Amino acid sequence: MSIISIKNLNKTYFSIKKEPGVWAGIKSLFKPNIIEIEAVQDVSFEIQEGEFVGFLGPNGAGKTTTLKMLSGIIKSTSGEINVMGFDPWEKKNEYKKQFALLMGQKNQLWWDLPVMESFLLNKEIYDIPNDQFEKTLNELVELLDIKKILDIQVRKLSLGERMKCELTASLLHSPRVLFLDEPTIGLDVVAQKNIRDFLKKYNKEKKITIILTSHYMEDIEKLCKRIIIINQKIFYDGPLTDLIEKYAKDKILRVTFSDSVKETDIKKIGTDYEFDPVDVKFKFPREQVREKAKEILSSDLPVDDIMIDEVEVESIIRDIFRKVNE
Amino acid sequence: MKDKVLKIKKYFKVFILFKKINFVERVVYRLGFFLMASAVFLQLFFNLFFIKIIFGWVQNIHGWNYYEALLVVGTVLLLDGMMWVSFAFVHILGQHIKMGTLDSLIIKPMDCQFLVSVYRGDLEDVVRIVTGLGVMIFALSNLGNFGWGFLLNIFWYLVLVFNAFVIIYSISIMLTSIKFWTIESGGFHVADTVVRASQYPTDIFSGKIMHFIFSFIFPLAFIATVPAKVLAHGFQWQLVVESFLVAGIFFWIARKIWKLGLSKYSSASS
Repeated sequence: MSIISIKNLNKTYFSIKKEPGVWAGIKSLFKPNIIEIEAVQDVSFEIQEGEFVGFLGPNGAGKTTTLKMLSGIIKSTSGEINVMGFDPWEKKNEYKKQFALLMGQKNQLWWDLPVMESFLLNKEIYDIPNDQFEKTLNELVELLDIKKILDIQVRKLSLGERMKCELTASLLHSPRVLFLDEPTIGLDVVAQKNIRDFLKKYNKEKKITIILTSHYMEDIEKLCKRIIIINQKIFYDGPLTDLIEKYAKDKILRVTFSDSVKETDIKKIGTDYEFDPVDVKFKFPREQVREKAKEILSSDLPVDDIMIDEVEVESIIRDIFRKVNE
Repeated sequence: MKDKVLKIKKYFKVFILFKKINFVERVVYRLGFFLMASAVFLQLFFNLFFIKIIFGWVQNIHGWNYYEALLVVGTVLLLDGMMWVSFAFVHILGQHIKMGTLDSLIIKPMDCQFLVSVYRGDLEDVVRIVTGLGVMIFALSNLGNFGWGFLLNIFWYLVLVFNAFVIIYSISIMLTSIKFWTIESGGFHVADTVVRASQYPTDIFSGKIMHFIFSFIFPLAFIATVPAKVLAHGFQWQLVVESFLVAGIFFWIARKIWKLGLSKYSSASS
């Protein structure tokens, strides 16, 4: 039995199309131009307990809309949603106590108060018993290394520290399912890595089920075995590695030279490359890459080292999004 | 039964926690707090001054003398103050909707209307409560007639003030819920105006139709006039029964409108 199951989910909403200018504004006041927006179309998937799923798609693809439907914030137009045996839209407290939604761009902590106050409020709202609260809090404080900042006002924290505290606030009631919408947005590289490491560990230890949306491919690569790409409709659902194999038609062949080489010599080998006199990166179709490597080694170029590498996931996904949008 | 008690206890505890948070938040900006409090006080001063001027010209208005009229004013001050201190949601629902903080309240395992209601409290409005009490004591001491009967009047007054609070709260919820449809964060403070309008004894609007309108359509009468009347002249069972009825019905309607608004929000946003 899967912990999250969505069947033929649709969400259509109406919006008023606004055109720039005062006159257009006045016109739309009396004769609004209502347009129908299909945010999510016929989406179905199942997620097993303990899975860490990456949810990808270009901006406006319906990722956040789907997470909001899973959280019971908005109502689907049609289709079935089942999370832990609940229909989120019924908004049962038993359901709300077992999941958490964290949106990176929104703040649920009290801005002018020490972080701890927000935690204590959540303790009451979620009916967390004293001993359990203490235990969970200590665990999270240790894992995220936030002991020193518990008594500091939220507005004085750095973005990275704040996100750690947001995570703690969301996990205090030990949810079984966690929806993360861009949790690392705007964070510096170190802070991103901290959050990532924590999520990885927490998912493994607690068997918590996580759906993550992120614009940073590194998040997805490091954390999610399975990814779902949507653009209103589901475009791909499966292991990240399969996706790369399917779409990464090219490989990178990187050659470093002990001595400067001329670009005209490089051109003879391949046309798709990044040139530097001692360091050249070729892009070759997978099946050609071995041959080309041999060719370079047997030429009289001053080869120092040669490496075959996968194309970066980031650029693969970018290509896929481009394809999706067409 | 035991569950019900636990639930009420929890809601009460969370209410207190929110007020504690509101207090600490306000005190962070001390200067702002004192400025706001003085502004409230100044506003009240002119309000009371105006009443004094009116009664400088006339002895009584439709059977209400100066001190009785002050009881009405004092009651409105008390209620207004209580409302702002505990449930200052009127001005921020639009903001919740616009900024998306409403989402984080919807997913909490408590009633969303409750959470939105208690989210903010403007502590400087304690000035209203204190002034209101002062005005009440001043008026009562000039009206005289203390005794056992008076204690009973106070009891019924408190009951009626509770109902009045429910009525004000319900009207505020009804009018503020409009923001689910208009989605704007400023303006539209009709609820304030309703409360302000109730500081004049509704008897001044004479005639049967007027009486009906101000009792049951815009139940201004039950906000301050009726409690003040009972405090000054004693218990009238018909008024008490009507007050309970109006409070109950308004609360019920407010709840319906709130739920309708919330479901509108849920189907419209993306």
